Amino acid sequence: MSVEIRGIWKHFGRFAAVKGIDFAVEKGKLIGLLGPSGSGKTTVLRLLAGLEIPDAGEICFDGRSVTGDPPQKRRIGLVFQHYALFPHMTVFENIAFGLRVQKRSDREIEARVRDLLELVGLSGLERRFPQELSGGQKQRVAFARALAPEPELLLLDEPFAALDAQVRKSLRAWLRDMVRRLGLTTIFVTHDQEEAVEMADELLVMNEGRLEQQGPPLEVYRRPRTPFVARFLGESIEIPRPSSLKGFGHVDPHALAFVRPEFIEVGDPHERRDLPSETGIVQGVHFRGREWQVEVAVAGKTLPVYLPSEQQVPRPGDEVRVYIRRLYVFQDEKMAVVENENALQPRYPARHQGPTADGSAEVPRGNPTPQASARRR
Amino acid sequence: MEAGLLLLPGLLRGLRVTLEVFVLGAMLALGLSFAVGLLRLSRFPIVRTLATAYVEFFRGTSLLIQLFWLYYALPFFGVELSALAAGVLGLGLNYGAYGSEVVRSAIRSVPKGQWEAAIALNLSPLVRFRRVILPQAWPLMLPPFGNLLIELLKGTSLVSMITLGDMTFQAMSLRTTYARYEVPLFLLLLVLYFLIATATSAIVRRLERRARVGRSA
Repeated sequence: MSVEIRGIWKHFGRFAAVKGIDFAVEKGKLIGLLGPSGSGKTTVLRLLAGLEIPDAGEICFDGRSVTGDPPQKRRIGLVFQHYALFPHMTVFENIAFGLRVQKRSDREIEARVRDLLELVGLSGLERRFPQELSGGQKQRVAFARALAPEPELLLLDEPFAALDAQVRKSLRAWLRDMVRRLGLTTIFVTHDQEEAVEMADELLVMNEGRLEQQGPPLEVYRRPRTPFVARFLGESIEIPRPSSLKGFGHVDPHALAFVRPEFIEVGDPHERRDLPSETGIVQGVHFRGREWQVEVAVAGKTLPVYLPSEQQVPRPGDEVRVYIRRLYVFQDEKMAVVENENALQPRYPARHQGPTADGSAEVPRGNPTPQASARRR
Repeated sequence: MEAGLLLLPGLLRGLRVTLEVFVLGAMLALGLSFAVGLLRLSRFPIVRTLATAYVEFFRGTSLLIQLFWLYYALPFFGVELSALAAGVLGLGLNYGAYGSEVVRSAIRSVPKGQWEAAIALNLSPLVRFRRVILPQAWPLMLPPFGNLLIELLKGTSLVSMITLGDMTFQAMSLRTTYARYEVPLFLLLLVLYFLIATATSAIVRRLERRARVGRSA
């Protein structure tokens, strides 16, 4: 099922939760609706489900307006953050319940529930009650129940928020594979960037009731359309007066500029003094397992730099040379990726080989992948 | 021993009436509890207002005065009720008002997600209520309903004031005849009320246990 939202507004009293947003979702896509608390993402999901009615605008499924339709007419499956399983019913009854309402035969119900239990990997647990299951198992039952009536659109409200990190990771991969296998259009709400980036074919980034950007995770990460997206997705540090940085004299000093950790390289202050680099003082060094996070004070800002755990790292108080290779610069509603004008080659041994923000084959230090950068937030 | 043989037959005659008033009053109260409790959750303000007015009136006035009105005052308006009908109606209306609050709060305490999950599964409002909401609200209602039933049982003693021959009425009659057995008489009356209350509590507890099957206690 394809989904389209046109000019949707939703108020709660005098508070506008959703402010005239538009977006379209292709059939079979897995969409991450991402944003901070209070950004309106859950309201959008509830509007799609029919649990809320918009004040203005239109919601279309497969080109047909469903704006005034009740939830039961929308062919949707809904999975809640806290599962909302019926505590007085067994796993089997929970999954079968929607099918009984459809007046399916007992044999058909039995077969469908067995198939779904197998699909979600819970065969043998059909006689248990919800409180006899772990969090991950409850969430799988909730998925199975939502899928039972064969919906054309699956809506998930922070589906993994109530689970611990380990279970969350395994369920993310499982859900992504399952949804792709079923070819089911799915929209999930999350405030967890790593989750969104890892699972979604496309991201919808929301803030204060507005849609800030829509696009594939890599594109949204590498080409943030607004300062909010740059700040929210991954790790970005705002640079005041960017023109004061060496190699960025051509940037408007009043522009809003951001740097990501993977745009920064650090090196020994005594080597290659000819580089267009800044002098920085190491403020702190934190071990993060696979890497070190080195905090360096440069031009009145503390910048995080990530180094491989096997690499020797400077100590707090050490002086280092800091080379900033590129900035995101926002001016007049436009974003530009601005390269350091003095050099385009990496000055120090890089950790990763991979494409850069503008798609060239230059090698950034730190994490070029959105997953890795998002992980550090 | 002699006192027991003299007093028990009269009290047992009253016991039959007490149980009759208790059971019929409880049935009416339960029916009203659900009806009014649900009306108080209505989408329509006028319905909510009328239901609230009923609850506030019957909770805010004395049961004894309500019984007097039903039995002694209504005939002046052309409505004549038997003592039994007035007693059952008075108890039912009074405790139904309290019970409606139990129903309303139990239904409202079912998490919103349960309602929405039921909506998303394409359930009609009736099926939604009967199969999803009520089975979860019912265990929450039972303990306060148990308390109300015992209150109602104790309230049945007031029907003696409208000439109904319940246990209390019989005890007062026996007291005039056997004045010297006043202490054993009222002790026996106390024991009989206590036994009915204990039996009621046991039934409610059993219902609670059954209602909790498949749920974390």
